[in-house]
Amino acid sequence: MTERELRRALLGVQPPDELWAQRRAWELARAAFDERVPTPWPKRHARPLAAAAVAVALLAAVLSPPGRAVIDNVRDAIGRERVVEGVPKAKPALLSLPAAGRILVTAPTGVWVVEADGSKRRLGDYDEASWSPRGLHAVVSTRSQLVAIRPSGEVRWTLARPRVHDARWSPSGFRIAYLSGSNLRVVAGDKTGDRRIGPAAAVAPAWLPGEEHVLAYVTPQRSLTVVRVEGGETAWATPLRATPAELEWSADGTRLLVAVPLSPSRFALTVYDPAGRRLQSLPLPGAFRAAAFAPDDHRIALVRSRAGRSELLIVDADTLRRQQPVFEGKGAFGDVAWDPAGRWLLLGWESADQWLFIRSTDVEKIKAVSSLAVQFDPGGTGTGAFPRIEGWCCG
Amino acid sequence: MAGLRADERGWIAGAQAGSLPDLEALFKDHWPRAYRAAFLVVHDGAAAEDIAQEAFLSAIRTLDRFDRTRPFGPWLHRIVVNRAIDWARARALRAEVGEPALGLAAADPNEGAPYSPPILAALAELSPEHRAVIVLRHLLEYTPGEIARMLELPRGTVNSRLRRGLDALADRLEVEEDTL
Repeated sequence: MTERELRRALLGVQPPDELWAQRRAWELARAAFDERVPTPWPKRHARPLAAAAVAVALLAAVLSPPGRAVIDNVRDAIGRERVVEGVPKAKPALLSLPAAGRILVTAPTGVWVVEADGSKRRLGDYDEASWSPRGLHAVVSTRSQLVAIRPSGEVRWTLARPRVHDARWSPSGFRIAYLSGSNLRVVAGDKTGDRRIGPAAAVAPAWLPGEEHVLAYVTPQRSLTVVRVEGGETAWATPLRATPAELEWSADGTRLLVAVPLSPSRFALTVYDPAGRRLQSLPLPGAFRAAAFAPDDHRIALVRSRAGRSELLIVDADTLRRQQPVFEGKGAFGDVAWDPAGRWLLLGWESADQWLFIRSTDVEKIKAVSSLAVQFDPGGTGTGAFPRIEGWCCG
Repeated sequence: MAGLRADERGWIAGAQAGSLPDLEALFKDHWPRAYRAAFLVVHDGAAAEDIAQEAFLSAIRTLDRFDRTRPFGPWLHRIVVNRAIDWARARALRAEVGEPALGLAAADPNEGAPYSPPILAALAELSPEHRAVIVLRHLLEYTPGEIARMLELPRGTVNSRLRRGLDALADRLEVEEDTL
């Protein structure tokens, strides 16, 4: 074989699905190009200069004694101490959960399961996690791998895919949807039949509750799309004003919540029915942080932040205008989750390094647990991101 | 390979100024080779598509900073091939539960797609690093010096990988070594 023959052989290899791969890639490229804001020439040069000026100013600040003190305080606040005071008399350790079920947590040290008795088990060095419908398994992921795992830590299978994120197990238990790079893919619960659904924006897909495999996701062109996975047909699609932060179906499958950030200080909640009709839409002040449907009705636990404070409130998905404040505090709140029976709310309070278990939306009782970051970093200092609550499942 | 064609210079300038048709021309000109190169290194259609896609998205995000006097291909191919090597290395290390080995994947690729099995099967027996230099040299037609710069390797390493890779290909394809 000569070099020319080798080149001909390499050119003769036909990668799979070449034409469609090119079309899909062009759709993504065009969407990215549409979103790009061309930078005028002078700004291109001004930006490095401005960055250099900021760097010099920061260096000067750090080198001065007051500057060092500020930096140390910030480091202490982030790494070892609370930024704000949380609920007083918080328990120093998580001794038990106030309700049945177990909680899936992602910390800088990996994915953990918290049992009802408060004991914690580290499942492994994974980046994200989500429960299977009955909590018998979890789907976890690293940047390059999708993994089905038991709560005991036993790995059932692994699947290598590039840049895996936002995996979600279907309510039937038979399918897992996940994002691989800029593509939505679905694989069976036993790892068979892995296939691409289409290009997708970086928003976790949401399965319609029920035995049919119907999935809501967002395309790179910001189209909210609901597909029947088995047949591949689109049930409905509608354009969105911006890429949403979250999609979530109510437990009875009659409401689809879409939370769309409109600006750093404003977001919109929109509720659709399963046929794609827009039932409610309401812009709200603040920055959207998290939302979770109650397991038994159309209440939404909503976390937002504004002006240095955060708020947990309950919003009725059938009106959106009926809102009930539940808890407010300084700094940043993180995730929120309902217990499986819908009686307790678990709220992560990042700035206070606390978890709050809040009984009923009338706030009959609050159980606070402090030093959360260290509890998921045994032997360490708890530096890094605050532990994320991935779900409270299955009592 | 390192030369810059006038039409490409025009497409880059047009895309930087916001012209979608110019971006499309640039994309159509470069996508097939980028996708093929990624596929020949990773031997996985989905991964190759994702790697090539991400390389283009990365290019679009940094289009404003791209020096239009330089050719687009080497810059794109450097991203594609380095990411493909990383992906193939990670996959080899993981030894997935229930996943076919790379050689089997090459022999029994994704459903229904036409392949050139002998060259794919032969490539599958090489390491990702060796596959990469062969693809860069014999598909994309870069010189060893250009490959060394793209992969941040000494030129001697590139030459030795080329030699060993070609020898292994020749053995696998049962051809006479001195004709390669």
